[in-house]
Amino acid sequence: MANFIQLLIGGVSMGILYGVVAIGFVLLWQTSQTINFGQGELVMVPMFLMVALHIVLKIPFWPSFVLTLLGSGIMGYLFERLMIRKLLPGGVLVIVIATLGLSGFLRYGMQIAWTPQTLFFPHLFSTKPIELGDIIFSPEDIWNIVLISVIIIVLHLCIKRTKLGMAMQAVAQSRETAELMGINVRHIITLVFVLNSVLAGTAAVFAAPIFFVRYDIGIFLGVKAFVAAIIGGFNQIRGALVGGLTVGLAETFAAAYITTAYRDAFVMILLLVVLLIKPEGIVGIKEEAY
Amino acid sequence: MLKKTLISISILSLLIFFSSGPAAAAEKVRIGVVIELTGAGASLGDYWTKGVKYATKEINDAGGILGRPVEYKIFDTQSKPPISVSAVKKALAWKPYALSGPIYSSSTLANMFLSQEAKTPQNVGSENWRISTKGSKYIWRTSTQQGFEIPKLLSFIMAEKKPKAIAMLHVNNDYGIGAKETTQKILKETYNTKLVAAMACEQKQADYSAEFSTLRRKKADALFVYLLEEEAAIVYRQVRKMGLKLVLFAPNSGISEDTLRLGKESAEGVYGMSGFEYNAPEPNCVRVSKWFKKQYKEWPDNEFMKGYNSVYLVKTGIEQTGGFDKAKYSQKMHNIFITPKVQKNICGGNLYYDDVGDLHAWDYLVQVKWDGTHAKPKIVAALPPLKGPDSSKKTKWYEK
Repeated sequence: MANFIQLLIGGVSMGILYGVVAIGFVLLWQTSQTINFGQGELVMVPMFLMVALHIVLKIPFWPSFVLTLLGSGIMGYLFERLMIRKLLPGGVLVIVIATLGLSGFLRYGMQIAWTPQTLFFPHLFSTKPIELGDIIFSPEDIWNIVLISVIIIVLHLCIKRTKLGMAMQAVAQSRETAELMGINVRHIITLVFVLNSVLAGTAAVFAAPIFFVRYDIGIFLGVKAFVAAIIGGFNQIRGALVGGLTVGLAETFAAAYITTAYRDAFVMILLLVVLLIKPEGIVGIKEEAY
Repeated sequence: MLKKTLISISILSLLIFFSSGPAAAAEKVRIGVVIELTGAGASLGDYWTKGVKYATKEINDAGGILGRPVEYKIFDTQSKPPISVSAVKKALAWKPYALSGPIYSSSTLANMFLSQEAKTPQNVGSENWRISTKGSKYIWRTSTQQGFEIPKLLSFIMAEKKPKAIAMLHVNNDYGIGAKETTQKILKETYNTKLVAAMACEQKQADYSAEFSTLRRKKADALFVYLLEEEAAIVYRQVRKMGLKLVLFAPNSGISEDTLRLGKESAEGVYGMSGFEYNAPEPNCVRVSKWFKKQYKEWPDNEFMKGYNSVYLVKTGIEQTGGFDKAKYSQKMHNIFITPKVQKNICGGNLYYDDVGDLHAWDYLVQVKWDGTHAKPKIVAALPPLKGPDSSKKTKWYEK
């Protein structure tokens, strides 16, 4: 049982991280029918920004964190204004190709501009293990789970309970109708891109001590989050979270009870099974009904 | 008439000018650097390339090789074996005298047949034991292969730490799988024991809770961390984070500067082995490391010295041959004992290359010490090579 609980903590702490990145995919898809294959790079760039501020310039953690989120928000704003807005009329395929290009540009740009080396990032929380009987766990994992959960709950409440959130939901359901109801759709789409980048920036700060900071980490996180969003449901925020947790737990339990090799393969098998049985995702809603 | 003559002379001059291009190029000793410039091995490839660059500058400043300057061109393998094959093809189309790299064993195993076909020397950074079994007369290693490295490391761990249950984490590629096979063989044949768990891990894996749960179930008291640099550092951090009490030991990738820079205090106590250390009691390792530190404000990873040696090996071969015949080069560079007298700048002291291009050199057994700001490899023992003239030499630890 102790073993099971420890695996559960490990799987959830990774899964929630995938989930928070996956939420970005869902938010952008819902409001602008955009699939952003540069989502992983929206995590990678703030990681480097955090290193620049906190490690290189030695700015204390909290100001660095705030500045990183600010930088992420600006990046999201520019991303929407300079690229997405111009390409949106071209349809989803144009956006997919453009974001793939952007992803490569940011990745190799960072490698050339800064370093191909992996950079160190310190732990955010105490690493002294806590023992509860046979169960040993790290405070870092618990804090990650708690804090990211709080962020997701706050986001969920904002979307469900505030006027702005309702406007976002309206845009997600029908851009034309939302426009007729007096909602500034362009404004909402820009806001969602900023929100997505800030979320990705937050994920970056939590992920940096676990993965370290390297220019190509975005591919890894982006693919995991994309798979998580599909498994959970591409049209539901809670779907991204469920998908993230499913991926994290599937990886961990498959590695523990089947084999540690090819742990990614189990996730891909799971993805295929979900697509065959419930193509809209575990908690996703069928597009017709939606 | 004069106009026609002038035009003819101009055309002739242009032809001579352009035809002199390849001739001039042939005067240079070209080295095609086939390396992990992007992808998972980019960090290692960066160190290697810096080593090539420095060695080339040094050699050219001293007058080149037999009077010819060295020129290199980089071909990116993207850390992927299939891409490495096309990179080697491109490099060979450039007509190099020799190839330098790659580092990843999977890439070398995929592309080494090309250098063999082209009869072009290739100095690789790979350590998988299978490379030496392929029968190529044009492959040389720049570090000790795992079949010679692991027995030395295990002999120390078994004698000094006396572990009861050894587990192994290995990267799921040719480098890691080759190490697992070697370790299992040595444990069985020499120590009549076996690994309690051998777990394959993915590159860029960040969570090891599943592996740690197996370690607990199997009651492992020692862990052989045969992973790449970044993953090894992540494992050290998570071992400490989960409060596991294990004797940790690793090959050179687990104690390299790149790993220790990331692992910091969590790497404290890890045992490992490497042929190239910046603090090794070997003048050339120290000299080039100091240059690197001055240039890049950090100590180099051993890949820097391997890349550096890959160029000096070409110089040695050409000088030993007395010309640029590649077949003669291949003959001369087998069963050769390269001492500082033969090649004064080469790193690692006395290097012996056997009949399959395997390197037999002194390795340093180190234990990582944390000094409050840096994790540093402290040399515990110098272990002689298993083959070659130096193999009969005994060190203090071996006598014990």
